[in-house]
Amino acid sequence: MTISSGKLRAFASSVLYNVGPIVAVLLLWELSVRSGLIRAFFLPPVSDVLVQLWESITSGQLPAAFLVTTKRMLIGYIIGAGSAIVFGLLIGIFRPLRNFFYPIVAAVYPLPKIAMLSIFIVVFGVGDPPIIASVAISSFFPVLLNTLTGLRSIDPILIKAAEDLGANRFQVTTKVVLPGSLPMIFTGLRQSSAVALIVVVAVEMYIGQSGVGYLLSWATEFFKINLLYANLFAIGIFGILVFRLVDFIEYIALPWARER
Amino acid sequence: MRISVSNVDKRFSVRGREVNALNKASLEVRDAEFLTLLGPSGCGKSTLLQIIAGLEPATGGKVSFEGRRTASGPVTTMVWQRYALFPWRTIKHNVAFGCEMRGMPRGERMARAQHFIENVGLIGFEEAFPHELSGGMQQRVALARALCNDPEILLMDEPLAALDAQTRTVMQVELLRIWDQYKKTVVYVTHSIDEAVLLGDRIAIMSARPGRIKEVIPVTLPRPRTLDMLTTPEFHKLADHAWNSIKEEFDVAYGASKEGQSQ
Ligand SMILES: Nc1ncnc2c1ncn2[C@@H]1O[C@H](COP(=O)(O)OP(=O)(O)OP(=O)(O)O)[C@@H](O)[C@H]1O
Ligand SMILES: [Mg+2]
Repeated sequence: MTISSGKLRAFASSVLYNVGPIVAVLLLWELSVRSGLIRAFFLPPVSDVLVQLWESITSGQLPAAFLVTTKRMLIGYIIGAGSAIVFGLLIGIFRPLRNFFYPIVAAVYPLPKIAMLSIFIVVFGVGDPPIIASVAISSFFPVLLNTLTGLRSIDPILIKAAEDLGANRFQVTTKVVLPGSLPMIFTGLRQSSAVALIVVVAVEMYIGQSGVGYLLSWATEFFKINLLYANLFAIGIFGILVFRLVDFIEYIALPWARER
Repeated sequence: MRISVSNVDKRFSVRGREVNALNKASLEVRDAEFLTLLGPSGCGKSTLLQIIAGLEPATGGKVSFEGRRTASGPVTTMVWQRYALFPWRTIKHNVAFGCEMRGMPRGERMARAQHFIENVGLIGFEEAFPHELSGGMQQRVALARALCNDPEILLMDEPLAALDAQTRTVMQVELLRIWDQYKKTVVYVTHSIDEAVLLGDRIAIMSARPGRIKEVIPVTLPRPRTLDMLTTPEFHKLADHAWNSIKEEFDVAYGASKEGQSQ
């Protein structure tokens, strides 16, 4: 057996292991609906959902909705996660800032951020801004807390070693503290991406005039059951793509922290 | 360069309780000497080394360096027991770290790093990350990183303690070879009496905590040292001497900890 055919086999079996169970569940779903075990009124056959999904995609309805949702999510995420990294590094590195802000962060963190939505609606009115603001504030805290944890988790011996080798305080920060906390920052980014997706869809369902969440609530309201499931499928696939993207960025950015 | 440690005290306060780590520790380290430092666990060896390195302030006493400077780098550089390599830097960037901090131009410092990577036998691993290397290889990187920094004095804190017995022996031979090449002043902390005799020009024995230098034993074995010497009567005589001296301190340390338990 040559190496390449071995690799092919490994790839084929990994596809089988990952996709196999999903296909099995879908088949079970199809069969139980077609056989009348479950009423198609609540759960349409998978094949119908897939046909609807295909139609929604080719008609441009779903791509347009995802474009709008992705834009809101991305802007909110970048604002929230980006400011969390900057803020986290500042209060993590400068003691006085930390002493001042830490109690505030600890007090605000447990609040369900989604409750802020009402304030955002009052402040921003309708349209994109309250949705973006909701995503931003919910992306903020996971990144902030993980950044702070990352800063604290650095092995003090590495800091001593850097000082011993001649690094000054600034260099210790940029060459040791910062790179050392990147894995935890990425953990925060991954958590936040999941939260951002949940929040953007939820807020769109609630106040959106467009986007995937809006499409979902519209389908619910008019009981378009095929469309409802097709949208859920699409959101699921979109979610997987988002997580994969974050993983891929981490893989590229942190070659030294790759799975061992 | 020579090191003169005179009457160094060190007290830590641990949750309100004072711990006396060093009490009037005095030691002279000669120029280009390989001095090994033996002592019971917790007697303050690492603390003394870090005070010499300037990483910890002494509570009392003084450390001074005397003699002509010959190296281009700092006065001292440490080699740590747990290697303390930067996990996010490749081997060559770990080795070049000190030079980079001092602002040496990139081309120059990378060439320097390459030289020391070759010298410790790690050709081909320049682009690897520390976690991809074995413990022995990581300690070679740590050694190359310290040498690349070109200090007057190398301070080594149990650099081989985390390695298995065979790798440790290989590394002892490596250290002897490399020390012969650069002839730097070395203070080398170890728990192994054999290692202290094999590597050292002199062995400084520390007392149980609070640590002070209790005795300095000159090692009369000729250089270059080889592993064959481990079986000579001369070697045994020196090892016995060191063992008897340190055994008294183990007894003190053990007695003290038993006393501590009964309180
Ligand atoms: N940062 C610190 N804070 C408080 N106490 C400390 C600190 N560092 C060391 N000590 C105490 O000082 C004493 C000497 O510690 P040190 O690490 O120097 O011993 P050592 O001789 O190197 O021991 P070992 O052989 O186990 O490495 C110990 O009792 C230790 O608890
Ligand atoms: Mg120690």
